[in-house]
Amino acid sequence: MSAWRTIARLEWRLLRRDRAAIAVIGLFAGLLVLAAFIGGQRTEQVSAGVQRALDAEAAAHAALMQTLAKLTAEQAPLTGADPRDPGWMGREGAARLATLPPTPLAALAVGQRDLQPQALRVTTDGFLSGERETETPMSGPTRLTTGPFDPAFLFVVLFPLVIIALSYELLSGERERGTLAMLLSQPISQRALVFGKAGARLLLLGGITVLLAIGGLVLAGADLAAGGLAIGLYLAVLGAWALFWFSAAVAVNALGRSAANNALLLFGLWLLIVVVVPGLVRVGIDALHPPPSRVEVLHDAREAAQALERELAGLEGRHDRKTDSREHALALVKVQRALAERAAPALAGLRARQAERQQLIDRLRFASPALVVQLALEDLAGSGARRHERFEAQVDAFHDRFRAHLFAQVDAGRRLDATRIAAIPTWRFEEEPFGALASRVLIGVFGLLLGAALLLGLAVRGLRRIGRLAG
Amino acid sequence: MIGVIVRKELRELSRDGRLRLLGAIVVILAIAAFAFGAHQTRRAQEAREHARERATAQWEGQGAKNPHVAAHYGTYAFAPTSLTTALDPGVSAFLGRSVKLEAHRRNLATHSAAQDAGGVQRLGDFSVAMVLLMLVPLLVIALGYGGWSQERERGTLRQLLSTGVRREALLTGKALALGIALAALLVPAGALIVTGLWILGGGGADTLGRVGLLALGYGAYFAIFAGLTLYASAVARSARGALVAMIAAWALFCLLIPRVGGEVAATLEPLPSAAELSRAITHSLAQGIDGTTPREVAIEAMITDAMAEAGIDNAGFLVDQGAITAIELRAEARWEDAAYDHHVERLEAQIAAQERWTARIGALSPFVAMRSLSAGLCGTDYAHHRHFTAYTEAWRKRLVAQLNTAFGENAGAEGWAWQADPTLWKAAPPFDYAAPGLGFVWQHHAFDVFVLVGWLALALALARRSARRVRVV
Repeated sequence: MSAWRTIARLEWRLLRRDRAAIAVIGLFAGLLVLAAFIGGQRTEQVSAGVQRALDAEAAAHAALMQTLAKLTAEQAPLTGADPRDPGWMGREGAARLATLPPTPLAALAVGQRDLQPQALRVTTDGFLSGERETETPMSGPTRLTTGPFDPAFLFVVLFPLVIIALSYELLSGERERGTLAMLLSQPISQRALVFGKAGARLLLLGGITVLLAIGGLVLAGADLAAGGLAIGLYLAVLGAWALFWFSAAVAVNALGRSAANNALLLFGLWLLIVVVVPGLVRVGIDALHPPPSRVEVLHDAREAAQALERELAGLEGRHDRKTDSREHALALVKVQRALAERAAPALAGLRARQAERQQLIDRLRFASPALVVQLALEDLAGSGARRHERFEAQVDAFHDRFRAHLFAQVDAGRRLDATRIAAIPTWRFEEEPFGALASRVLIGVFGLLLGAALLLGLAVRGLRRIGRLAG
Repeated sequence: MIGVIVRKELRELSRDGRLRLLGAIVVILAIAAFAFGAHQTRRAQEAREHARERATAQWEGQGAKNPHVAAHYGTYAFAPTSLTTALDPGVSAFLGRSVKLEAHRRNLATHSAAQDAGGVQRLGDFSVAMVLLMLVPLLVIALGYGGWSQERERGTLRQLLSTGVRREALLTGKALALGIALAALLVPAGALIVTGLWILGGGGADTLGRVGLLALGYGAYFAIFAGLTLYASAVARSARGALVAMIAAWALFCLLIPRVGGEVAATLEPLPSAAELSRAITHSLAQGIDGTTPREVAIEAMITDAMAEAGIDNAGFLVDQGAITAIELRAEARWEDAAYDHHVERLEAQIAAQERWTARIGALSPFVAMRSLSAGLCGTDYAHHRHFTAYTEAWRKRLVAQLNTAFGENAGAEGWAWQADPTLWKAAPPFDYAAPGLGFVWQHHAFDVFVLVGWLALALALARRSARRVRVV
């Protein structure tokens, strides 16, 4: 035991004087500061935007209630935009903004946030206009294609290179300098030497990982108290990811080749895991389950409803028609209801195919540990594909409920008052139960640890060949 | 003399089993990426054709209708997929592919492939361009990092120079050998890919010109990495040092600068959110672009002017109801178009400015310049997209104007109750968009070309300088 400690102390001293190692860690930390800072700012922008939209909605509601009180007091006849008219309320007055709020760890990963809508306007109209309500700033196409500079990018793509840089010459360096033979001439076992050295580096790496991970969160202004268990999972993911690469480095060192060879081999592994395999996985998913085309779904609905569209368009395009008559309201509801019914199968088909693809991703992510980590970080940041799809599905359901409620009022020929307006459904996003998210992330962590264990097994086998080590 | 050096270098490279394996992997990946790209491109083209047919059928089959009601119903335009997308999808996956064309509003292109793909698009990149932009430079580094450093470590450099061979000759020989080895791998793969493109139906002179320039561009790009690698090989203390330094440079060029550049560009030229844009448009629609002209007042003035011009205001009770409605509709359209054009064009200018900033920051990395040039040559960059959406919008205005004119000329006293014959839908202006030629690419990517040429000159100069001063021991 004391031999291990001596070795670890020696290693620690060596590392402390290794300028290259310090430079690499410093560079990474600097980049992380930048990414966390940017991530925090962008998250704040989104939160502020969502709040602004909700405030605007509340203000509009308050104005509406005032108008209602006035009109009710005056017992005025119905006008074009009248809060007492359930038809107009459904189309415009009571429009709801369904938003997907950012989570406490949102700054970690942009994920799908710059691609998918996080706010949808819900009215009694057939289609949700997803493009016009999102408060996340748009991105130029090159930036979208390149991907964001967020902490997830740094941890998934660059962090392994840092670990490789710190550990590729764990043993080969000693051998090449000729110090390995000298060390082994001391009364310590080969194993003590290797594990002492590796242990010291692992401790150091672990410390750095935790420090960087937490530091990144703090800099990004994440809500640490609200993050709670998610932060634990985040540390587990990064810890397992670091362990995976460290094990790979030890395994490669155990082959007993030169330091340059180790570097090349580890870099090749990085290229495979981080760049090549994820690309191939994407190809595989797109080939096996081509993405459903929303344009086609749109046309399905448009065609299925062409006759109805004609009726609807006849109602909507004519600037001379009075839109406040009861017949008009009933006709509109009839057409819209039928439109929704006919569009439903196409929409359900789209959702089913999205779900199939998502399941495939869940399975194929294990082809590359980098995918496991990327998807886990997005999940924890609340910007993963799953949460966005969940959001859209919930909005669909809410849309149906909202429509049914207001259509029923129109059918019954009711006028709305304050109580009835208060009874109009309001939006609330139901988060995925934490257990489901945690189990998905933990399965990923388990996969990473399994990979690390396999690599360590290889390393132990390699290390048994003591003679070659000192050679 | 140089011939001898080239032969010796080539023999050495070809004997290295690792390099053979690496080369084979890169070539296989390039061909696989092309097969996938070709498949995707075909699918995108078919999907577009299908969607277009459906949209046309819907438009033409809408039956007797008031023309303005038809304008509300609207139709769709779909962005074309160039054949060269199979080589480099550029940024096209993140650009909207369909535009809804209707009265009263200018819609942005929506339904990008990336949105349809859900979480999949970002998992990883896999295209011929990605192999050429990221993996081949690594191959160049692997082939070249030992150029000087290994000779020095083995001690052969001293022997070699004692024979009186000039250092420049050595450098030329090594560089040539590197080029030949790379060409031996990439030229057959390239020929295969060009044949594939030709089979796909891209025998046109324009496509060939684009592919030729693409080959030239990538040749320069690889030469940049070759020059830098030979430089690193000459100045680094060890072969290991040269390798690590070049891998670090690669990571900087291909991973870090593009992403950081994107963030910097977004900070320098921030874009509004979709919600902000729609609020701004709504405001301008109600209050004018200047924010002080109420819609009703402005439209009323336009109508009065137009009626005076048409001499209608004196006609008394003989007024043609249809003609008046058409004038009203035209005035509304003019008002709305002004607001939409103002905001959409500003947004497009902002996006273009952000793209320009990305390119400028990219001067720090040959990767960024080549990526942008490559997408430009393949017609998959933002400039091409903007060219398409500009045509689409002009066409929308023509269509709406045509429908309003038909209303004005034929509705007569029937006014809104008048229904046009379905032949009117077929008489819509033809939508025959043609992608711009190579001159357009030059206009938008001259900067990238300059950056690449600059990097090439720098890399070659460094390689030469370091060869003259290379340490022998």
